[in-house]
Amino acid sequence: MLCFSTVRRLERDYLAERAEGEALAATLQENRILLDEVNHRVKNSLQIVANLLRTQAMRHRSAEVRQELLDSSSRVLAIAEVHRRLYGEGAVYDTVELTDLIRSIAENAVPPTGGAEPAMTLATGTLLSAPVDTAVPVALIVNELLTNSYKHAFPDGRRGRVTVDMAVAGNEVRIDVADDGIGLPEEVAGSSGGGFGLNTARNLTRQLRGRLEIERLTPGTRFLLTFPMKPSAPTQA
Amino acid sequence: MKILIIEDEFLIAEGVSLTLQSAGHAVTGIAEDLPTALALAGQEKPDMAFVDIKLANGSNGLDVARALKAMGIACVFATGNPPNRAQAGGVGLGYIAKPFSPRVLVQTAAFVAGTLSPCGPASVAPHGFVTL
Repeated sequence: MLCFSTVRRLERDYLAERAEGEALAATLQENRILLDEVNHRVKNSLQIVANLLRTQAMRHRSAEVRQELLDSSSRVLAIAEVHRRLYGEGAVYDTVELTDLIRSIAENAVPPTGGAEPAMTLATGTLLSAPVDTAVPVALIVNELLTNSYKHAFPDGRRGRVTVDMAVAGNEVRIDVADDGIGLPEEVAGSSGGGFGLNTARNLTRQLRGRLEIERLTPGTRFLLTFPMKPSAPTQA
Repeated sequence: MKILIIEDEFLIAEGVSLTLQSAGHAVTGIAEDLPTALALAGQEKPDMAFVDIKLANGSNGLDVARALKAMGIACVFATGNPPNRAQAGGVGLGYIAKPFSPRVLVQTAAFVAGTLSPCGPASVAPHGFVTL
């Protein structure tokens, strides 16, 4: 039979544990609100940076500078696409689904206006969780390759097609970006040719420990990005 | 199409305005809170508005969209905090989530223009636009 003092002690312990649980729940709720606010700020700030570059571009007299600023704005939005998936509704903290990410990058890379937009097909049948340190460079590389195609492959209103395919073979991911445009000049297709964008894509490929192959088609150009990636288990938010 | 922008971040509003103008739309003004939005909407009679949720001076985009709907102006939320259908309460056509690309913005404006035309929408809802 429990004595009175034991009952009182158990009651005190129970109340203390309950208070501790309530305090923890309140702290957790505060942290969630704080995290939501920080995420909101990150997304807003990335939108501001992208718009700032775009606004400066559209007001610049030099067509060359304008294009460079528009390209930078597009790169910021590619990084923002990764962040949107990290912190959006139902998101996980440390991984991003690559197929959905590539689809958005590809949709965003098509010029917003213009009479003769090349058609795009996207076949990414595999769902694949990528860690953030893979997703960001992949987003930037694919954005760079697509931007390159839309910018250079179809001059003077030439019509054509851009395709993006993604496949997984073992522990390797292969992303194939191709167009049927006028084709890259031979000196650009070489191992160090091209401008800032293509060289950034090459350097980011090295960061991924991957390979970027450029093939001159008749007609067009094919970029094949291959990089190793182990399947990773996402952490639910 | 005549478009009103309701956004309290100047740099975002200016980029949105230039992008919409370059796509052939007329931007009738930029409002940072509810009173300014209502004044501009009354003067300029826009066809649609892009509305952020968190606005200046304690204004809320949902209240703005409710008031604009009563004036016959279609609203699309452009926000980092998209409302769900219950929160929106039927006052917005849908939303585009920040950070959004110029293409998503321009295609959404074109889609809304189609929705408002007597012939109905010319295309399916664009990628990046979520219907409410």
